Amino acid sequence: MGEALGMMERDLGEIVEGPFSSHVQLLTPDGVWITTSVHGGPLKGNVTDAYVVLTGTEEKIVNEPRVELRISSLSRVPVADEKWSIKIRASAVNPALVLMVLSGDKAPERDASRGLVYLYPQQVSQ
Amino acid sequence: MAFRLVPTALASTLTAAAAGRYTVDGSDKQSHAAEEILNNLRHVTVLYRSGQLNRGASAWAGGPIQHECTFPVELLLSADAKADLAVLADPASTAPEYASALAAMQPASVRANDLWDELFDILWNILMAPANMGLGLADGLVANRWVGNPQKGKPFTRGKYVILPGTFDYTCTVQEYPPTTVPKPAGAGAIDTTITETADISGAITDPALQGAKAP
Repeated sequence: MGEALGMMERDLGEIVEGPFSSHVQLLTPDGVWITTSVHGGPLKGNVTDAYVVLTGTEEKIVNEPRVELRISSLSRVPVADEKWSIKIRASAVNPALVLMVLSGDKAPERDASRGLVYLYPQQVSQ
Repeated sequence: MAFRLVPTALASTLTAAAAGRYTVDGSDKQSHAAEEILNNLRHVTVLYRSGQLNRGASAWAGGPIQHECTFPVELLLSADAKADLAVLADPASTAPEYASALAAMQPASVRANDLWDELFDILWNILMAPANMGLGLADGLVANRWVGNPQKGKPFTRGKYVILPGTFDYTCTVQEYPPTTVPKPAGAGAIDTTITETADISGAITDPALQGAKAP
């Protein structure tokens, strides 16, 4: 069992934090930046500008950015009703990090069975 | 009919009073990118939706007929979150400063809600102002104007922003004037619609040409 979990975590690491991932930084409500993974190295995840949701047999494209992170890589996992800030790549072709905030309208979704958490960044201005 | 003048007059009145607070699209129903309308209060005037043409005696040749019209005005705006970026974007900020800035952050949907209320407030004051009562049209053409039935839509996320639509109704009474020309049947002479008094209220003959005739 332990070995199976280890394999799953290793697979998750390759899928979520592999070559197609990008750097992510999180600012906790306590004012502490999370820039590194618990497993070592910089914190990384999958950042997408749109994603597909399956409803029954229908696929729906949701046009909003989403960040997919490995729960086990985080020293603290965002939950609903908390105010976090996040830095993600500016665009798919621009790796420079830009400051955003986690949506106050859409809470983080924790998919514990797959060991993932989905975050929804929102544009912020002064 | 005169009601066709109202949507354009409505858009012109709102454009003249905008002062950079919103953009008037007139009857343009083209969609907008969330980024384009970000924090730019905006509304779209749509076409005539419904009306009630009241039956009345004045409908006989010339009017006017009271036309109670409803013109829906659509509002559309987008907002992002608001926070103290001077602190959040500064690597030299301390943890308590970061925490304080995050605690004071205003979510996008809250901002959108506030902006919608502000926009309706602005538009209501413009359209209910006595100076705009007739929408700049001919005196008496538009009367009894009213701004009501505000309905805020449901906020939804589009990209990195929150969009909030809504509507309100501009209702007014427009004077419609039907044609005054009375058609004549083929082969018939002109129909004389002139009313000549031939007897007074007591029944006494007043028309000299009919003197001696028996009153009905």
